[in-house]
Amino acid sequence: MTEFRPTPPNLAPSLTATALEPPLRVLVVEDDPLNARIFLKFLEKLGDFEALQTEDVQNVLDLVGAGRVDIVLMDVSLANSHYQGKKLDGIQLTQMVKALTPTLPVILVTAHAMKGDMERFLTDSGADGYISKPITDPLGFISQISRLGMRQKHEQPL
Amino acid sequence: MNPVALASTADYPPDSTILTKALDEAHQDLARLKLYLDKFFHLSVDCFGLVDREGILQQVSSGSLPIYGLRPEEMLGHHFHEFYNDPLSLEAMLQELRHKGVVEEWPIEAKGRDGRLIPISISIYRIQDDQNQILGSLALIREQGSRGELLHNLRQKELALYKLNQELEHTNMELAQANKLKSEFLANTSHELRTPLNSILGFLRLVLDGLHDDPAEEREFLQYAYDSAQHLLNLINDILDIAKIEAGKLELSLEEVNIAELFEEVRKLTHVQAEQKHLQLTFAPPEEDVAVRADPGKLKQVLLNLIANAIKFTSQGEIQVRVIPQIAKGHVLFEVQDSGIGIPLEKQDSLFQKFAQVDGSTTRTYGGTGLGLTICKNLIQLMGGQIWLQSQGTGKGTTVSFTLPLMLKKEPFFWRRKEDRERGLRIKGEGKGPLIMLVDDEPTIISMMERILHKHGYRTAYAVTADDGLDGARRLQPDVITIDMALPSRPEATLHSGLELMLTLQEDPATAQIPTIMITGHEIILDKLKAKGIELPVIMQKPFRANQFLEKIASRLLSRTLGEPHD
Repeated sequence: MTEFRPTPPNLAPSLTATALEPPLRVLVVEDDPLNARIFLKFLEKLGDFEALQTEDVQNVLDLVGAGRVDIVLMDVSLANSHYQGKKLDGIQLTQMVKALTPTLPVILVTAHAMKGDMERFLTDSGADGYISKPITDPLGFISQISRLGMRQKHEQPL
Repeated sequence: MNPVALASTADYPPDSTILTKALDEAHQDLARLKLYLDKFFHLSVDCFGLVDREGILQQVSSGSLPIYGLRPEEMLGHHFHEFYNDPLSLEAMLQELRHKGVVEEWPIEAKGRDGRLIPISISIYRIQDDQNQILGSLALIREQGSRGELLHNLRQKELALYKLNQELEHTNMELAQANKLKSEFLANTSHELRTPLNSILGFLRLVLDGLHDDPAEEREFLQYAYDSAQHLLNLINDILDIAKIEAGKLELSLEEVNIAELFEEVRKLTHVQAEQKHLQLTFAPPEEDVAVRADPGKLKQVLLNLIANAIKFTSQGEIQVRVIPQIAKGHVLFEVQDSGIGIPLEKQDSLFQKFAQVDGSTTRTYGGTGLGLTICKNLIQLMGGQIWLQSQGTGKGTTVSFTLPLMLKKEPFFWRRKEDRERGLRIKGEGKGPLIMLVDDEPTIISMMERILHKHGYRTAYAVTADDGLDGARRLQPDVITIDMALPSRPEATLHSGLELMLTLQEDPATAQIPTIMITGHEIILDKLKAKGIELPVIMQKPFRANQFLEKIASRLLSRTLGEPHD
């Protein structure tokens, strides 16, 4: 999944300016294998991304800590994620990521989409964005990730 | 003349002197008492008066002025009748006084200065001497709306308000709880529906935009979209099932279901899921050819649901599905046992409740709508069975058990037809003995009980559903009712089990006095009821012998005669 693919210009023209830079590295934290497959495919095909998927907490922390990630897509309900013997959800994991790397952008991608969920999740987790499932606009999804990821990359002192 | 007598009279003052002195002292005492009494009546702000036997006012306190507008001296010597307006109420009050010797807080209209009418309440206490001779009465008068009465009323209202408030708080709490469960259910359902929708839309989008690598991947994506749509359909069906059951609109078609065939169908549908998780899934059909009375589709739904649960909550080990015919008890026991995460003891009872799951985090971990077990419970009960679960606790696996009526012989389901219901309520038996009403859905058991009872001079009638049982009890007023705990119910039924029937009979004044005997083959149900504080009057456990049955009947008849609730 880490293979680099050039952005098809007709699908995401706004992204072509960045084609000379190294691709954005996106970490997808998602427990549902089908949903993960879709996100990776969208990222691969519609944008200039290098995408990785995991739901293992230690894995997430290692990748983030080592600076190998430019942006995180975080599911809220994580069926199989544990940390130090305790179950953990995407809100708690975002808090841990933010504690480790405060400026790394995290977007919550979740099927919890009742009134008030977005506000509550953003406040509780400290995440930078919220996208509800189902994804109905793949291009919008991609451009939101690019925007946040780019900002992060350019603001970050070298 | 007796000198001694003379001498003695000379030594002491004459009798008259002593008497005079004693009389003087008594007069002084009396004067003192009168003074106290006058003072007391004069200074009192409360209104009271003393009347003699004829009803003439002998003493009136100063409290008369604010109420009657009359000073005590204006009232003294008058008959108390003169100060009241309503002769009928007065007569009734005096009758009460004659009857009880006391009147308390009698509301009446007093007549004050210039004929002004004043609503008062009056309390009267009779005064009697040592020989029970009536000397008169003391009356206490309180203006309606006076401070004392207001305070009293206020306290009563405060108390009523406090009680009402408590009830409201309780109701409020229940409503808030129900509302919270409903919101949680909605949120969970929304989440569960959105997850497969994301897969459906996502994979279709990928295919439509040509983002697949090759035709094989295109096909794979379409398959995922299809599977997700199927999952979505299952979810929607669950939600609709619950809605239907709630509205009492679920229709069952009960028929003979062969268990071995059913197991084979269920095995085909579940073994792949188990293999994917490397779980051993075994089916143990009964050795003999046994059938149950059930709706085949619904029974399959229950088994699939329980097995899916077992697979979902088990990460290693095995899942056993077995059947134990309990012919003497008239039912077949089904068990689905897993070696999974188990269920904390305190959560076990609530799991069959709608919207309830072990907790919110488990919902998230394991998905689902939280409706599966609720649906199973409703379906099993509608088919005349019971369902329960057992787990030694977290990490110790779970066994879900349910029963269904054993199919003893092929005969029409007579309880469904109206004319057959009427036949059941016709009284049978040649004797003139007490009437025993049998509420049971198993024809062979009814006819067995009928035979025993008729032989001993009893008369019988029967009903096969809880609703019919209630109807029969009201119409026939039997001397004893026997009730099978597990009864089938028609879709429009208001009562769904023998237990509900018993509780309804006890609450209805028309049937509350009829002794009942509960019949069950489920020991475990009895334990659960006991834990909940529900006590059954008399229980017969299946299987039972004829003389046990007759003894219970006789003791219940006796209890009715003696008016005691126990045998």
